[in-house]
Amino acid sequence: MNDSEGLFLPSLRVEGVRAIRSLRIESLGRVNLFVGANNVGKTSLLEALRLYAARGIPQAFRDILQVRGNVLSPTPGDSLEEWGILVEAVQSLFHGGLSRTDGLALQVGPETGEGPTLTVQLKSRGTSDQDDSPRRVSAGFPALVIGYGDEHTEVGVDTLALQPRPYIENQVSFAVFVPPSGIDEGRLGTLWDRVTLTEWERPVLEALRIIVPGLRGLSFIIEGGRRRVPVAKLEDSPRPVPLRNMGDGVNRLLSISLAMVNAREGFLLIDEFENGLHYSVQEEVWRAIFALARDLQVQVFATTHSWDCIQAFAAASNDSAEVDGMLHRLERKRDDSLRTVDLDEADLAVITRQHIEVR
Amino acid sequence: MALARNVLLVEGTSDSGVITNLWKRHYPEDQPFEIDVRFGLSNVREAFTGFLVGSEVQRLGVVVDADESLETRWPGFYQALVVRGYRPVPKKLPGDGLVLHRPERSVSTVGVWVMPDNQDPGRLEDFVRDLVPVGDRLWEHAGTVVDQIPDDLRRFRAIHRTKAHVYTWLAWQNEPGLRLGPAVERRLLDSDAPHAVGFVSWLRRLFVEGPVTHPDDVVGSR
Repeated sequence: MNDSEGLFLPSLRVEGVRAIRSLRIESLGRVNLFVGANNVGKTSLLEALRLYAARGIPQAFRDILQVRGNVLSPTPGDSLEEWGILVEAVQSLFHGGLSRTDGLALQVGPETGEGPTLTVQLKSRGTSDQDDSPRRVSAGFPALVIGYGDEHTEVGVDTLALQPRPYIENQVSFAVFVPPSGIDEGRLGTLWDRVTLTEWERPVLEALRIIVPGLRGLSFIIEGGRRRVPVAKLEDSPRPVPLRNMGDGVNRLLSISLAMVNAREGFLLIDEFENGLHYSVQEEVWRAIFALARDLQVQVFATTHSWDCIQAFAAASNDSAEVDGMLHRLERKRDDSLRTVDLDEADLAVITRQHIEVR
Repeated sequence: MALARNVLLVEGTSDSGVITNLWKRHYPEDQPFEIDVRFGLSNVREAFTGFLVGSEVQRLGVVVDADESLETRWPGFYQALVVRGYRPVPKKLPGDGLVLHRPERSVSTVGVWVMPDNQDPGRLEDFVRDLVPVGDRLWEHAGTVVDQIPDDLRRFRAIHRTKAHVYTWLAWQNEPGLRLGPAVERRLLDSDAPHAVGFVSWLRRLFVEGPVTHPDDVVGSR
């Protein structure tokens, strides 16, 4: 990958991730919005992109498993039951992984020839001890064989239970993921620390001013002796005001904008974009995202259920000549694979003018 | 998953009234499609493209007037279908209306009917003219009167002569000024006339029947 150009997928092929048996998208834009019925696989798609952006490093698997509500004990004991839970969680990443255990494999990447592909296979028994496995249980234990481009590594599933290495604190060019409920405060603080007092602080404040015009500054302070929480300096208030008291919209915007500036030359992934955002501000938020996607070389992937959100996206996309916005509608076919109907900006103009609800 | 819809796009409310009542006379049970009145050709054309690119619509039809000629009307729809991957599309609109089954596409069945008969120039009223009972003497008289209007009093363009004829005739029924839809409902217009039967069978092929091989069509290919 050429670092100066950042991560960019011109097309997409996903095989065997969670709810996705098979999916192909011929053409992706710089900003992509996905719509489709519940459980069609929108969240699975974002997970596939997270694995891809992180090139399948073990930490990415761990992050995804935790978000899905799987509790990964940081230091599992030696009981087989605890390890069993971990193995099942890993299996659940694969399409069909809950009903069978052999032959599980997934693949994420662009269409052939347009860039490297990530492949992951689950083997029921690893072949050798791994250097980074202090427990030395990897041999004979299930293992992931991870390939990215021409490189292949084998990782014992047990190593996923280790304390995370702090890769995410030091690097960009990965995917930054905004869950439906927003990014938790602890992680928001980390993302803030990486941009505060840099040129990337300003876009975050500007985004928040879409909802809070009188915002002067932002900081994170320790509360109750341990948690760091975001507080704002407002024009008409002498004291810092906790963001949590300022409504869902501001907090959603903080998640999205901090994720955006931390995703430079990587992916910004937003699940259920419209959560907490009143329809009247969505268009302006999309405009900010289109502008930042261009300036920061970020490829954006978001999902939505909301027609308001699609309209706001279409309006921002139509006005943003330099940045391609595309809407992708996911549908499940009878053979359980997915297909997309891909709408470019001209199509978006038509559906909004004619009020054709695409959901 | 949203309920799949079947949609018929039309230019105006007269189209909607005629189509609903023709269907009802042939099939009194529920109409298996909704009629979406888009008010004008350019809106119908855009909506057609819009529905093709992604919506919960499963079967999509369009009824438009040929106006001056079929040759100017059909290519726009041909183009829209080809651009959206519906292949092959017959170069020439079939005389019994277009119905394409493309199960691999999101909108899996598409149909096009150009009034009056997928061949001649004209519009809805030219289609309706053929539903007037054969030998109706009032119809002939109305035609004579329309043709006798002195040039300096005639306000309609020559191309709308049939339209003037149809509405003149409707003005002189025992309930003067019925609209076209109710005229079908009250049987002033014959829903078993050959043109009406041909149109209803196109609706059936489009919205009810499964894939059948049309002479110009290869089912399942792209």
